Amino acid sequence: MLSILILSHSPDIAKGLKKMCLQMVSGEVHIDAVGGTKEGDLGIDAELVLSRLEELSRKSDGVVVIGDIGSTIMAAKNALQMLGLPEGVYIADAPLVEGAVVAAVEASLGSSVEEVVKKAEEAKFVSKL
Amino acid sequence: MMYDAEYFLRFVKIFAKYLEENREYLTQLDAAIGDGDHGINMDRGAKAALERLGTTNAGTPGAIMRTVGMALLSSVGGAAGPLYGTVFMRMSMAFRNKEKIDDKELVAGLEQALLGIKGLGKAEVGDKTMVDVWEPVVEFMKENIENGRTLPEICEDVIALAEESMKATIPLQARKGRASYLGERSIGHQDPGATSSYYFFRSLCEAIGGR
Repeated sequence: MLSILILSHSPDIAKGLKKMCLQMVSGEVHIDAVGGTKEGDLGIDAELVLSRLEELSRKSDGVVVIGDIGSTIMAAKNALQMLGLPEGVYIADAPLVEGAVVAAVEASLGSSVEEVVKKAEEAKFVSKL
Repeated sequence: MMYDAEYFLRFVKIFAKYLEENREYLTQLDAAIGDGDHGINMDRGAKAALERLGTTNAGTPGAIMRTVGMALLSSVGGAAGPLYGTVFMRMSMAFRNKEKIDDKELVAGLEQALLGIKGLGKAEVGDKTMVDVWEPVVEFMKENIENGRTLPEICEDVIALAEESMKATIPLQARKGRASYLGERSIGHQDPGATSSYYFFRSLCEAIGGR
């Protein structure tokens, strides 16, 4: 089973987006979300990102990380480096909300982790109007 | 000169003291071009680091750096968390479990830290980030120490270069981080990450004298 890890500066966005993704999926995919600081303020707990990513990379067949602005991506990159760049774990260069929803659906359809990353990244170019 | 666990503890304490004393200043700098939390975040991170050092048994330079790195990762919150977290973790990895570090090993650790910062943020010199202080200072240290000088001998120059490089971020337009969203409006402000980096190198130097 694949895992999607949502990272946001905002705990509310992380929680809300996880809910949105769960509503969209029918098949097998694990959705996880980390947002905000230890105190629940805006920010990111990079140590928690590290431990969560460690756990997911151990338990899943592949992990796709999607983050919002700046430091969430840095926290993810830092975690990957510290874990020795585990196989099958990718950071998608994708918009958070659209990317996560697309990734969750794609992963639940049984696609490969590489295919999920590709689909999430394509969400950048989807026109809304 | 050899740098032992005592030296690195002094360094962390001095760095924490600068971050506490300049909490408001760093926050003001960040409020001008970022999200206004750099001072608060760094002070909280440094305090968490000191607390962890007080409860764990970190007895080597590498173990001390690792403890600080993990504390910063968990408590800083903003981009400075992963960035400074990487600085300390990379130094820890470079120092391994050696009891004492010499000048060359110290600089090698700082070089690894710089590579870590650049790898995370993809920033280059001139982007108005902490790299604007880190790169010239680490290069200067490396060059001098390769030529047989020691950190105590070049300390005054290191502090002066760090300060000059920090001030040189004022006229730059930010190309990385949240300040880059401001475009030209980021010109005329000193970069907060470059400023905390100046305190980092200043602390590294001042820890030598045991001050």
